[in-house]
Amino acid sequence: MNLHERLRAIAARLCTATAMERLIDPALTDVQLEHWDAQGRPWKSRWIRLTGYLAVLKIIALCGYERTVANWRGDEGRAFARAVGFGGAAFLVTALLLISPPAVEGVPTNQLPYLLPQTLPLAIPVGVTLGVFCGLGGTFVPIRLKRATLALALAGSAGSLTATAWMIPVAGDAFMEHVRFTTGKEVTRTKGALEMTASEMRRTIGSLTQSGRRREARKMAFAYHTRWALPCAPFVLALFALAVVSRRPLRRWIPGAAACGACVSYYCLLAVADIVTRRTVLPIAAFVWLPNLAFVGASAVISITEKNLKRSADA
Amino acid sequence: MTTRRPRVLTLSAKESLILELLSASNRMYGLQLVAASRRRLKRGTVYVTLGRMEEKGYINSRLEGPPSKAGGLPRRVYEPTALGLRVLKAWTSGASVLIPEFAQ
Repeated sequence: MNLHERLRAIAARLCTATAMERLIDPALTDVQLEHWDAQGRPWKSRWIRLTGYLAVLKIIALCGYERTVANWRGDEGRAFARAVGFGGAAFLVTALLLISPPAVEGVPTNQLPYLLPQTLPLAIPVGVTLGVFCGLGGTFVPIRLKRATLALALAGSAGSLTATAWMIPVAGDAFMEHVRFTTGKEVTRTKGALEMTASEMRRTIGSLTQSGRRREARKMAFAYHTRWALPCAPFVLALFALAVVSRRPLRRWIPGAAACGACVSYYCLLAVADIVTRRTVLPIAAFVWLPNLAFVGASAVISITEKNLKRSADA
Repeated sequence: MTTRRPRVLTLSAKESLILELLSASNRMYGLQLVAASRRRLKRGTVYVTLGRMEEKGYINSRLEGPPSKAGGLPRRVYEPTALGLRVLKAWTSGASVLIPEFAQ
């Protein structure tokens, strides 16, 4: 099945027959025709396919939204809106706090935007967790609301991955260029782990290991594995939060405290993993993924316990 | 006895642009509308707008026979309805009365 057919199959699941006929099929036909017209020009052809399929994905997302969230009424719609509102506010506050003067002392104001991408891997999980706990805490969470929340958390994870894998290295380079441009000084320094791309990190790990600098190699390896594990935090924390809020009505202060507790625990586990891997020769990847596995495991245990309790209550 | 209120016919900026383009050339494909609009219409949302306009009765669409190239897929062509052209005319003249600068 090629990409064209795969996209059409996904669209057929989310869109109505009318939407398929009036929206998806015309858009896919346009991509094919333009691609055919661009034969012999490979880059033009690739650009056409990229923009065309992105447009189709946009239409699929719109159809999915209209079929799901837009039709929600009453409690479900309000709960989802509350979760998005709390999550968005928490995200903004966290990001702004992380680039506020006490946190980034000595950085001129005009250079603060370059630091924004570095706030995303922390601000997104905090936003998602607070959004779920505070928005959905104390309410009955039906299955479609859970699915929509997890879909949003997955989008948050995708955003976090984009930040760690691409935006942060690019922003780091841009920051160096800006300093060179404004001060007129050549900044000669080696790139830190945050500013390197994934392939640069792998090469650095290899060269550090070969030259016998094992501690630095392990430190770089930890940073490399964290780059892939940390973006899973929004989805994993959302999963955990949904398992907890589904249990029973919560008192007012509990959701906020639980959200903060969950986020702090996640990053504490990551800090513990950092310390352990620096001082021992235990496998780095296993420890870096430990927080994700711990929260997924906790969600599973809570959900299974809840199901067993319900079954015994019904019996 | 309650009197039936007439349906208020609205026209957004994108819908009026589409009707203007269609009234000039009578029938166009979606991609042609995107190209003719000089990026004011996006290929991701033009079909959503066209679908909405068809529901309102401002345009009609039909599948044209497949061209001989590119897999021979049929294409949907769009043309304005009499109602759509009347709404465009009313909207444009109304706007020129309310906002004289618009008419210049």
